[in-house]
Amino acid sequence: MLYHPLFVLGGLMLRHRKIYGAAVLAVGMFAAQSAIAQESDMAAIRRQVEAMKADYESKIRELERRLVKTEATATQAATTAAKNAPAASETKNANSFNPQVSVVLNGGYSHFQDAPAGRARIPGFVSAPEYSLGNRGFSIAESELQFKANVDQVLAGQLTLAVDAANEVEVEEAFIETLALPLGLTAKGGRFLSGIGYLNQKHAHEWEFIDAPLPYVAFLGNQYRDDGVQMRWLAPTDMFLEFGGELFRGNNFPGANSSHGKGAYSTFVHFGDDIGASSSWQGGLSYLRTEARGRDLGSSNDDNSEVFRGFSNLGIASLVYKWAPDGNPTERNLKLSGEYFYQRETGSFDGTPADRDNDGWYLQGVYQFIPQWKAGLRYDRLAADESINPGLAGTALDSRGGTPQRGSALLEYDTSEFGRIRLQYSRDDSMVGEPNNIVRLQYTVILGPHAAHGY
Amino acid sequence: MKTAHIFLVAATLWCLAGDPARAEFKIFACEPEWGSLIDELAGDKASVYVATTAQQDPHHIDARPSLIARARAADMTVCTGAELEAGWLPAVQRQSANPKIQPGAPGNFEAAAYVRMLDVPARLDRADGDVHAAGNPHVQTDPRNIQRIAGALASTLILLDPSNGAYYEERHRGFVARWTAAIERWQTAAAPLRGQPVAVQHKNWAYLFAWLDLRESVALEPKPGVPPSAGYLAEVVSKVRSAPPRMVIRAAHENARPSEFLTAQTKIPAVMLPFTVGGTPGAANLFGLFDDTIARFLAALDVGKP
Repeated sequence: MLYHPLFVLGGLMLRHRKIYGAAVLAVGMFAAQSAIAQESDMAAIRRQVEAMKADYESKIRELERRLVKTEATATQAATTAAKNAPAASETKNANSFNPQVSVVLNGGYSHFQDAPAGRARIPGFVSAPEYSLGNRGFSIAESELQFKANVDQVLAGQLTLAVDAANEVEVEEAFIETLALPLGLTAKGGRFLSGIGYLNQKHAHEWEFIDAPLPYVAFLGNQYRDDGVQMRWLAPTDMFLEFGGELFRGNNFPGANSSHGKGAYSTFVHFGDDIGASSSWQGGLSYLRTEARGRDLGSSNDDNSEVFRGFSNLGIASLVYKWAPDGNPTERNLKLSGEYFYQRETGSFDGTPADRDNDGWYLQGVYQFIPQWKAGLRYDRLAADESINPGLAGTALDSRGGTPQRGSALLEYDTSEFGRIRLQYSRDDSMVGEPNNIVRLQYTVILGPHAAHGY
Repeated sequence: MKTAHIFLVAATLWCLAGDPARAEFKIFACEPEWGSLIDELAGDKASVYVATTAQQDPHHIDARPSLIARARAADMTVCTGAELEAGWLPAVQRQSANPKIQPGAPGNFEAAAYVRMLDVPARLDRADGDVHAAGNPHVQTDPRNIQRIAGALASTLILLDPSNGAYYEERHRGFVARWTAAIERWQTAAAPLRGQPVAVQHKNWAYLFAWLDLRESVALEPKPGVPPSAGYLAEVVSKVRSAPPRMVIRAAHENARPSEFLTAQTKIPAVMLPFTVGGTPGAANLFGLFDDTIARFLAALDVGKP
């Protein structure tokens, strides 16, 4: 390292500077002593100094030239050294192998009319037991704790814990994933967010709006996750084309009480590309089949009523479009997304045959108009089957002739990539005939390293 | 029937084998400067896909479907590293399901590993703005760094695609000869810039300033990556009035407003620099990048003459 060209040059310059400095000093002293020196002498001295200066500068230039040349030949050796150096210092600390840890904090203030009996219900849909509008007033939302690391050369692992406002801890995700399968294959196992739809595999803090769109609430209980395995294959094409299949335990909504522990499966395909430099898009088609062996509506009724037994077949079509001038989203950008859900449920509700075809969709757009500021609009609606078995009139599956729908407006301020404050207003008519004005102010921050976001 | 079968099998095999006429070695370059460097070193022996343009900020890129599809096919990625691409590249790598380009694989080439890093922070705190633990990642603004990286890149190419090893070696030798001469030419031309105070919009010029011995007098961002408020800009204006820099510079992908505001207030010339290949019409390749950068500096120096 001591013979690195930089050091050699530095040493030479230092030496030359000394000689030059000494020369100037000597000349100065000489000039001071002979105060009576002639004008011609002074001129001669000045010429001498100028000559030395020119000589010095040409020498420096020559050295610089030599340095550049030396570097050209030394590059190969230096690169090997440089590549090895950082690795050596990093391995000193055993803690370097600790998983990457990050924390997501959420909280804020909500204002809305509380639903009767403290529980919201969408007529015509057997929503997930835990469906609620959340807490009124000040409250924290789920705090997330995420650990991730490569296990070895073959596998990576990730654990995501969520702690809710009632201090309950939930294992949101705990999975292993392959790193190096050939042929574009990736396998995943454990508990994870299903790859169906577009929004489903994004963590709640990555959603553009504070809450999930109505079809996600009604058909998937906000988000579908379960214990199981996933296989994905990325096709070797210039256009993005990915196929996937999943097999799940099947205990989570819309499934329930799976007896054999493999009660649900899904398949999906995602595809997408760029349109010029400024736009890009991604589409998807997904299918999820679940079995419910006695799924009840939860909390308010302890007797054996309001129980659904049967199958749910859900199809989802998704489309996302992003735009930014020249593909540079830092100043302005636009994101439009929409998904259509179609569900066929076959089975019985409290013993009455209940075969139904339901659907729902949402469309949303978020525009960043200046750095750090975004505004968004969303419309979501559901349509429950109206031609139901007359025996179901008056039950939870009776849509009461209404259309659950909601309109939302959003204003977001980002303190940085890692912090944001959102204000969202929703005119919520999902309970049909009981419109609710919901205002939420929420902060979301990320502490520590955060994984790169997907599309 | 039998011929149809044979035809089908043959077609499938041909599809799997790929088209032999196309360049076989595929490289995914994260930034245009590395795309241009690969062109210099690999010529037509490799096909290059450049993931970003000079109009984009390499910190803030969407992990778009097209990037994932291209990364799937790549034999090698050439990126800056030092966390420059931390916001999107890991997502692309993971989804690409391509073992050749995962971190630690020989096909995962990070340019910043081969140069001496500047601005390495003494403490790591996000309250200091967009800081990188490894140091300032914009290493391509010093041509001497490019030369070091070219050496490492050539060795990696030879390692991964040995059948064209001699060709890569030959091209590297040719590139170094031309590059060395160009560096000399640039240094001579840039001599009047020595020691000049220059204001920057964002702190992404450390390597260029170290090379040309320029002095960063003030930054228009209060902290790296934090957009300046009107109040902060007013503060900068008063600072600039008391000790005026010769010019204020910004990269092609950055918003012109802050530096133009400073120009309107203080008459200090605002200069847009290419920052990478393709940033200006003149910066068509790596040589043009530095030709144009220095030409723009010198032109501003003339305008700003007292």
